[in-house]
Amino acid sequence: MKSNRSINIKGQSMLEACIIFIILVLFLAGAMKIWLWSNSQFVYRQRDYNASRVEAGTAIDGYKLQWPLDYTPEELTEDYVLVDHHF
Amino acid sequence: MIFKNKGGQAVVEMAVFGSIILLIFSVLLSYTQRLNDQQYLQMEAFRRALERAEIFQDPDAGGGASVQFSLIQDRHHFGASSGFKKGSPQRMSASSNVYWAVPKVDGTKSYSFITYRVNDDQDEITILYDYGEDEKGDEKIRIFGRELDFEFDYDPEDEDFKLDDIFRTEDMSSTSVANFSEQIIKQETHGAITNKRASGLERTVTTTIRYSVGPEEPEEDKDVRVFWAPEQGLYRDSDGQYKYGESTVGTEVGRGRTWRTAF
Repeated sequence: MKSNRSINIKGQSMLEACIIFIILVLFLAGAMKIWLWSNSQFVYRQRDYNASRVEAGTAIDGYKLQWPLDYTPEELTEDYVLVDHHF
Repeated sequence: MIFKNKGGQAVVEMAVFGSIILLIFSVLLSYTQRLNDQQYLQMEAFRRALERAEIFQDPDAGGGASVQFSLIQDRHHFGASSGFKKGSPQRMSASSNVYWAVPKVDGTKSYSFITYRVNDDQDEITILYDYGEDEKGDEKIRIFGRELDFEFDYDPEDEDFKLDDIFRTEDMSSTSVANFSEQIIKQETHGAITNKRASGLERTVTTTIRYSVGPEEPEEDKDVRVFWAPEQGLYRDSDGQYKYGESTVGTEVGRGRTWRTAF
């Protein structure tokens, strides 16, 4: 017959495992959100790049190099990572 | 004994799963950074090719040119294992071809450029198809640039004519030399512990761009020569980016941090 102490210790380790599992899943979800944020920046940058292509492809006097791109990445915030966000 | 084993289980789980999480995160970061740089370089190569073609003017050949633009950059990528060295350099490249010219109505061909931009520095080879006639009345093509100047006979009516039969750009290669030093100082007094960590990185990369003239086959007859071999040094730009330039060889990029724990 197992002692109460042994059962309590087993229960404690399971509880710790559950808590750690939840924390790890949250970390993983956060990492994925950051990754999705960075991927979405490619799309937004491409959009801004395309928006300036007429200017870049028009021959005019005093033509200027259309580079670097006039683009500011969307801010990566805690809300973006931790709170549900529609992409 | 049982108590000790059970207590360690959660710590081991945290250590194992934590490492896996960090590994996944680092893979995602490096993948994203590579994708980001590739997209950036492709965009930049096209814009620079457009600019090179548009701004060229020659009274004999009309406006604009045909440009084959190659962009090569050494970009420092995230590295989980490189510690204070701030990542490892990765060579990325992109190329773009643009024909944007208004040739003269007499049929004179526009200029062609083979342009290389290696990090901050740029050089090019110019190809001029209608370079006049030799004493026998044959049309000539002139290929010139840094330390190279060739003239070849060619027949403009020959539809099988390919520039590759007389002139080609060859594979490029690069070598790099890096000096990295790191200093870790820990000072303990009765009231506080002060840690200081500093590093210096000096890196020089040499890129060798080659070309060959004459027949492509057989391989042993190929005359391969060096067109340009810029030696470029690492520096930190005002925006914090690590870049390379010919004028910054010998520059040491320093990093440092000091933190203090008071009791």
